[in-house]
Amino acid sequence: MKKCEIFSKGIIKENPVLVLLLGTCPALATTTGVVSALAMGIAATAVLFCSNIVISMLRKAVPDKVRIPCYIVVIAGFVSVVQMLMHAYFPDLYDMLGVYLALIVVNCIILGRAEMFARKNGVIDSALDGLGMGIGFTLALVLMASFREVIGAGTWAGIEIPVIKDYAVSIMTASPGGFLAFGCLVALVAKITSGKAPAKKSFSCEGCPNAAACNKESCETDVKEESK
Amino acid sequence: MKENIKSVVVLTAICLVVAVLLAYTNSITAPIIAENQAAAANESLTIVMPDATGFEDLTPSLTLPETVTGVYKETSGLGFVMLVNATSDYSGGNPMTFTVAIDATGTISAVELTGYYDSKDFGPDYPQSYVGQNSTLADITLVAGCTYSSVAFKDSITSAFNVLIENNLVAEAQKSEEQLISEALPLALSGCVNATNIPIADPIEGFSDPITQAYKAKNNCGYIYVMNGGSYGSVIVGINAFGVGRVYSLDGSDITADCAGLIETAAAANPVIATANLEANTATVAACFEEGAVVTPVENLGGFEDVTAAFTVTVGEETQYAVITQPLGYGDEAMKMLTIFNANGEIVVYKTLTELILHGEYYSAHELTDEGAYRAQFVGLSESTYSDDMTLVAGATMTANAVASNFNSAFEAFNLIKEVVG
Repeated sequence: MKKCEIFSKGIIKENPVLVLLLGTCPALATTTGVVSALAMGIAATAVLFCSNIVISMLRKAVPDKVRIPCYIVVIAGFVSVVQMLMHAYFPDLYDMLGVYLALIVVNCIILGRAEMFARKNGVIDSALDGLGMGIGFTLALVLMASFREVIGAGTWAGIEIPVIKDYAVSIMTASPGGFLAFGCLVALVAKITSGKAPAKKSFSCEGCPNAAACNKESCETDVKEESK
Repeated sequence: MKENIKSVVVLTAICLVVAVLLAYTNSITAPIIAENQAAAANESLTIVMPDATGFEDLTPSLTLPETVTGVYKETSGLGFVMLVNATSDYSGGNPMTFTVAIDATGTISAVELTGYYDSKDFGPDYPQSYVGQNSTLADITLVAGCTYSSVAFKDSITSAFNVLIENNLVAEAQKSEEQLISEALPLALSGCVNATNIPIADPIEGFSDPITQAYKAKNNCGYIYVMNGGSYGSVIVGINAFGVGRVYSLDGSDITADCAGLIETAAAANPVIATANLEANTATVAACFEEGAVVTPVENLGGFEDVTAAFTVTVGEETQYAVITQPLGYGDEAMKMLTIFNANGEIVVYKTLTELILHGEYYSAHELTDEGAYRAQFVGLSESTYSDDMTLVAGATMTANAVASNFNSAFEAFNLIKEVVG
């Protein structure tokens, strides 16, 4: 796979939020405003980029049976670093993101990319994959937040939009609005990609951290049927 | 085996490296975070003291009451900022919180309410009425209809002042005589004092020296007089429903032993309440017994709680003791109750002579569905087996407090009657 393709696939073709449907929890929780969505996206990108590099570097040294604990320690370490830096230098954003910043540790995208890509590829490819996926995650969040903030509050990144401000539909900034925006964007991306995405193999049993524990046969059957 | 050891070593090594990375990051960010937090804390203090240049946290070095959570000294000497909270019966577990700025002369310069959860709102103007007040809080009036919350607020401000005064940080302001009298009034006749320590009494006009002020308790438990006490200055005299009195000086000392003459004068100033209502109360007690019971009023009974009448009742060879009380309940309304004891001090009758739960007290879904069963649970109890917890009624705290007050007063009266009549 070409380096350019590795980097770009996470942006639309395999967008982690809108195609692979990973990281849904922060996508719904932090997209009430563009600023918080952007902050969450950048924080997750930083963790994804760094953890992909380190996990790729360690891929030959880490025994298979302890790879998940090792990945979790690395990811948690980077999340804590990001958290401390944000607390020190961007306290307002830190307060805005609250518990969701710490919850990046359990974001499926991070562990998913470590397991599916970084442990099988070189450092540069893994770094590009992490960066691409992170940018894809950030774009999805900002897009979703823009949709919700403009319609729900009549503002964009806190800037008032005349006319729309007077007709804001406040439910869009509440939980139901999050699901509505998410559904609309997923449908839009499916339409744009004409059903060619997702590439099922990249997120089916082959790359799944739980593959050993689950019923592989029925799981893969479900995935195949869904992708049809 | 070899693979297991390798797994342990690798995982441990990764943990160590990550720990070192985190420790290094923490060493860089911790001071910045601490600085940010101090700046944020100072910002909240600056709201009430905008000209402040900085604050020194005195909290760790002072012993603080529960109502004061922080004391900060402005570094250029402008004064103090205190974080205060107050809890009333309407707080529902969430205290109201506020920040008070007190200048170096001991005068409140600003009050900022930061959290208000009471179910009754005393409004935004009430906290601002404290600005300009010194430690006497002389010009503060309570908010009608929101007494409990406003009293809690006032008490918390007083406790904040006390912290500064006790630690010699500001000087105590001198209270006027009028203020000292109003604070001493509850001491003389505790039976007419409500849960917020305010005597519920009506003023009586038409008295001359040495009586300067006179009040009759709304619940008929006695009178309060402000009198000229000679060398003591103004004194507070309480006369209970049986004409027995006690005297307090304005500094809160019991000076009854030195003021027998004042008590005599005060007792003669108005009719003895128990005697004035004798006929009706006797009929009430007699109605609880079969014909032939001899109901005899007890005279000169001591005690300054809410007892308004007491009787001995002889039925054949047995003597029982009836006590009528009028504790203050919901809305400071008097609730008339009758408790009858046998010779062993066990309750044989407990009756409410007015409505038990006054209309409007319940504010939740909880209700006292069976008042008869509620009253019956007290029959058979004595002073040693009774507990205030038994009176609790969910959603009707004021009534429960009144019932508890009734039993405590009645047990005290029973013991006094036994001393008087044997």
